[in-house]
Amino acid sequence: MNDDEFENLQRLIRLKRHESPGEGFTEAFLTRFHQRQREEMLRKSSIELFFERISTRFEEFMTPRWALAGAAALLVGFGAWAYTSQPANAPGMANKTAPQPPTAKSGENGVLDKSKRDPNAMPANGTPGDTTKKAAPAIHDGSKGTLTH
Amino acid sequence: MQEASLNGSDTSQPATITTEPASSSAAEDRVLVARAQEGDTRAFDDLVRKYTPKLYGMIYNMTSNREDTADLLQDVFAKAYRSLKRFMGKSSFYTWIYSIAVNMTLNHLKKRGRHMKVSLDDVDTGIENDPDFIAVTTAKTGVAREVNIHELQKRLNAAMMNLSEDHRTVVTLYDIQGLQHAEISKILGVSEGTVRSRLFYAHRQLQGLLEDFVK
Repeated sequence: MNDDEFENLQRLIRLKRHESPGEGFTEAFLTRFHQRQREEMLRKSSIELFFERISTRFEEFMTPRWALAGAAALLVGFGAWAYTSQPANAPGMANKTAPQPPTAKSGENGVLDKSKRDPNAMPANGTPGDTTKKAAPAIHDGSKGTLTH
Repeated sequence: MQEASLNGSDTSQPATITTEPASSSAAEDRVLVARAQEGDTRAFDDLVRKYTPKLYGMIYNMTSNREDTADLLQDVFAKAYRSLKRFMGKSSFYTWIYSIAVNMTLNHLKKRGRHMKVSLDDVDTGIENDPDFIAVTTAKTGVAREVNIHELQKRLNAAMMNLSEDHRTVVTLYDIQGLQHAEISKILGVSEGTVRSRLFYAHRQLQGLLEDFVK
């Protein structure tokens, strides 16, 4: 494209400035803008307006800098939670943290009262019967990490 | 008005359309923005009056649809009003509101996709006295040639709509609105080099589409 052609092209494009919405557009536009704002205020409930103001206030925190800080905080929090909720391997800790199997209910003297036993209760092996033996709590022997009954 | 210099590599200065010095306009904006942030709605109205013609022109030249332009412009000012308290003045208000307008227009165009209906504004009668119009419609022999303004308008708009949105944006901001490369790069959030290369490619495309008017 030579210089004359380039200049002609720019002249042509600049002619688009002559396309306009006409006189009076700006004031009419402003009137419609005020009307729109009033309608929006009336449509929104006070709770919606409250949340909009809150979200506008906090939008400034949704920048990469803050997102990274938030992500880092979440990661640290998750790491701390994962660490504290891990099953303990140390001695003496298992009977505090290990889940206890369900025990058969016993009466005042610690003896199973068959009359009070739920007839529908099934032991872990799926067969009905005396559940006292099978329902005994697991006791950790502490030495090798195995469970003994 | 500064005339564009002839240069195919788009390093020329655009013809500017604003006559008031940039510094007094920016200072006036700062005062109006401060008042509007304090709750003075009339100050925001003054900003609307000041920027409506420029932003209308920018959005219209991107969309070629006057109804969409009016609706989008409402959305732009509504968003600017809601976000005004967070405007810290790191850029000029001019750059800030132009960025909002460009982004909202590009989003609108992406949603509209290929289903674009053209609805053109009228061409004001001043065009016939415009030196650019006279230059374009005068043959090299100095004889004026018959040019149907309505037809010219349709061809120009069709050519613009043939450009991609990114290319149409830079042509609108540079050639039509008269912004400098540096201002455009701030508004679009791209480097000046990107602005220049998009302009170069866009001009090459437009030259092909408007060949009979350009030669």
